[in-house]
Amino acid sequence: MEKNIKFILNGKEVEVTVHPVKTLLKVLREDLGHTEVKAGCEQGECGSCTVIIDGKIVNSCIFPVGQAEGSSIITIAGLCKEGELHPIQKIFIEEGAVQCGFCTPGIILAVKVLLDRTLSPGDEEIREAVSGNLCRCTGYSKIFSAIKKAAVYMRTKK
Amino acid sequence: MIYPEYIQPVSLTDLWGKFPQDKKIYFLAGGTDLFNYLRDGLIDASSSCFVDISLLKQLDGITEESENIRIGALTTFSTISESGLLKKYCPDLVAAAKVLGTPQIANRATIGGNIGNASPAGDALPSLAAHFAKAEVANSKGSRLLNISDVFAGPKKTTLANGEIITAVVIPKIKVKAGFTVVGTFKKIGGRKSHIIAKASVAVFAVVKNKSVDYISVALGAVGPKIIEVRNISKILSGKKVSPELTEKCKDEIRKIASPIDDFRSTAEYRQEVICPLFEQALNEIVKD
Repeated sequence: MEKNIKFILNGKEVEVTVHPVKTLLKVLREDLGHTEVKAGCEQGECGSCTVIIDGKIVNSCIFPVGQAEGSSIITIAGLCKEGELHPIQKIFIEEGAVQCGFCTPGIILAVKVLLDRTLSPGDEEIREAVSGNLCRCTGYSKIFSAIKKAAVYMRTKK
Repeated sequence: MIYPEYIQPVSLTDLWGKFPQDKKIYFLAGGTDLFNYLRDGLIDASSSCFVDISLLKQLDGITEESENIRIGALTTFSTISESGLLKKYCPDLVAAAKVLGTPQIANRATIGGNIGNASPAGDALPSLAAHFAKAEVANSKGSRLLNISDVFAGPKKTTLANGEIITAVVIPKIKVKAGFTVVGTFKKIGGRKSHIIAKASVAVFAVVKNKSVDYISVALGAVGPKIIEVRNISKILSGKKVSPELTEKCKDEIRKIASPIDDFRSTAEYRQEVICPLFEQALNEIVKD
């Protein structure tokens, strides 16, 4: 029982005809070619598949695409503007907050939502904001300092 | 991949007309449990129907009534953790919402789902039991209120009939004497700090003035087949000042009533060992000079 589902993906309207219980992750990767959204645990544990839906982060691996109808979805590819990386992305690279890179798209999207809410996050707030994203390489300290630096950068630029 | 049948009603009245007669009904809200059951083969997709209730906006939100706080079944734990009303009347539920899952999960998981899933480890459940909350259950003929503890038949089992839906949870507002304040918290223990499912948990809700207790209610999670209300604690502490001796008496009650088991998440021995310190931590956090 496939269904026509329309939503906004990184600012552009897309349309798919799929079963509404298919996960958003699979639709993004398999039907729309958006492999920047990473498939990790596929059980809502690791956060690699994080996307922003209507301003909130969710695990796309346990999100039925039927509920995406009419919503606005942002993947990591949606943060680049005219080929230019988002300041959070640039600072993650500068700070060496990326090692294998698998968790990075999800973490940066979680940080984006945090910094949309506040540009002066407390230490605990930062840790909480990325607590749904597992990184098995860096031990988080470089990620943490990159987030602090990104907040300062975006605050002073504003 | 075999998918279950899927329907997406737009209103409660629309809901009843659409049910397939011969299928097991699963209500789909945030999907945080349901998708894992589907993937793990715990749901037989070919004989099931997912009824997506996400468009039933009348089931979403927190409202204050004269005697109760009403939380719609679709209310997410992110919403609960930020609710001023709940901070005032149910601080223990807010504390539970803050430690439920991850930010990604809390943005999706709903209180109706937490009840319907009926896990003894469900984070909202000890708090709801401590408040003697009622679940509003509806079917095509009407709706009824069930004591929260009567919703559960056992681990992951409810007393609801196929196709009956939890539409809201209703929490009675406590009366607070002048000079006293409402306090409450939730503690759980697991393998790490973030995103854990409780090996053992406790909700404590009280009306206090410093260490003097006017009212207290305690419920335990994950140390029995269902949530356990420890009713005798209110007999021990109500009208008294919390002291090390009385706290020990409360812990004796907890030891008597907890009946944990070994499972994939922990052992009975460990759960029995940690539940009392967990309670003591919670009590000391909310009752202090």
